[in-house]
Formats: sequence, C-alpha cells, structure tokens
Amino acid sequence: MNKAVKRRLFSAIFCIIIGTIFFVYPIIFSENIRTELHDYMNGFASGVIAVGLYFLVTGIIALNSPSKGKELENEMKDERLNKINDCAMAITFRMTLLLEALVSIVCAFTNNMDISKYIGIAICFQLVLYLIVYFIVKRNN
Amino acid sequence: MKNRLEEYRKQNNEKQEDLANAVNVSRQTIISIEKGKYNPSILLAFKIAKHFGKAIEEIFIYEEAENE
Repeated sequence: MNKAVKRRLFSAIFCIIIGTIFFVYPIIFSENIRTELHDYMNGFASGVIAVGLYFLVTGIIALNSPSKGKELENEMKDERLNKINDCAMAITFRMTLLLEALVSIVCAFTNNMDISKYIGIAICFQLVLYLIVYFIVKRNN
Repeated sequence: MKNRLEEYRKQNNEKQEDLANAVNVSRQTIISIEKGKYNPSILLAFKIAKHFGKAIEEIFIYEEAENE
C-alpha cells in the first residue's frame, strides 16, 4: 500500500468519525442544544461524511488497482498540481481578505458594530498569521 | 518553453501515461509540458532527460527572446 493510498484511507476514516460525532452528538444531547445549532451540526456532519465516503471509495479503488494507486501517488507528488493548488489558495486568501474588509465596513456603517468588530479581529489574526508563515517560508528558502 | 518531449516520447513508443508514471507526475502535467503551457522545474526536467538518456538541452529548448 503506497503512502498516498494510506493517506487517503486515513483521511476517509477521520472524516467519517468526525462526521458521525457531529451527527450523533445533537441526538444524544438534544435537550441542551438549540435548534439552529442542531441544524448546523447536521449540515456539517453531512458534508464531512460525504467527503469521507468519497475518500473511502477512491481509496479502496486505489488499493485494489496498482495503476490507480500509482496515479493517486503521482497526483499527490505532482509539482504542477501542487503549484496550481498553492496559487489558487493564495488568490482565494487575498480575495477573502478584501471581502471580509468590505463586509466589516458595511456592517460598521449599518450599525452592526459587533459583527464589524469580530470580522476586524479575524482579519488582523489572518494578517499576523500570514506574516509569520511568510517569514518561516522565506527563512527556509 | 519549446521542447521536443512529444517527439522523443513517440520515438520511444511510449504513451503519456507511461512517461508520467516513469517520472512520477500526472498525465495532465505531461500534456501541459508537451503543449508548452507548463515549464517543469529543473528537477523534473532532469528526470525526464535521464528517462530518455538525453541531455536537458536536447529536450528543452531555451530561447532568450521568448523568456524575457
């Protein structure tokens, strides 16, 4: 079993366990949980379990087929795919920051100061984290 | 960057998938390199050249004008 297949199966099991916990918890402790939180946890659980099942199916296919296993391993290590992923994440991060800033400003002008404040704190936290990661990556290159 | 990857691959009677497996990349990456849409890293370029038993310069053609 190659590393990529192991990682895929481990991710599948992890997602299914987390999804199951989020699904079962509101059922067991329904008295102490608001309806909105119950719905949120159900939605989250459904999404995570769906991802887990996808990983499980593709992992089992890769386990039973050496060519599929090799393909999965190549995709994991492929420099072009990793570059595309990094580039897409970077662009998304920039766009998300701008969007958060815009929402924060709109909230401030529409008397939703609490929401504006929390979004502002989140933006600051993301920027500090970005600076830390930037210097770590710079030092290692 | 221009390259002769497709030419050497066909000379070797190899499919894109076979070459991809030999150098541990995806088939889409081989397609992108052959079309000139993606320039491989130096490490990947060396692996490809070694696979064909050629020098890098024989496979990848560096033209100064196009890379400025």
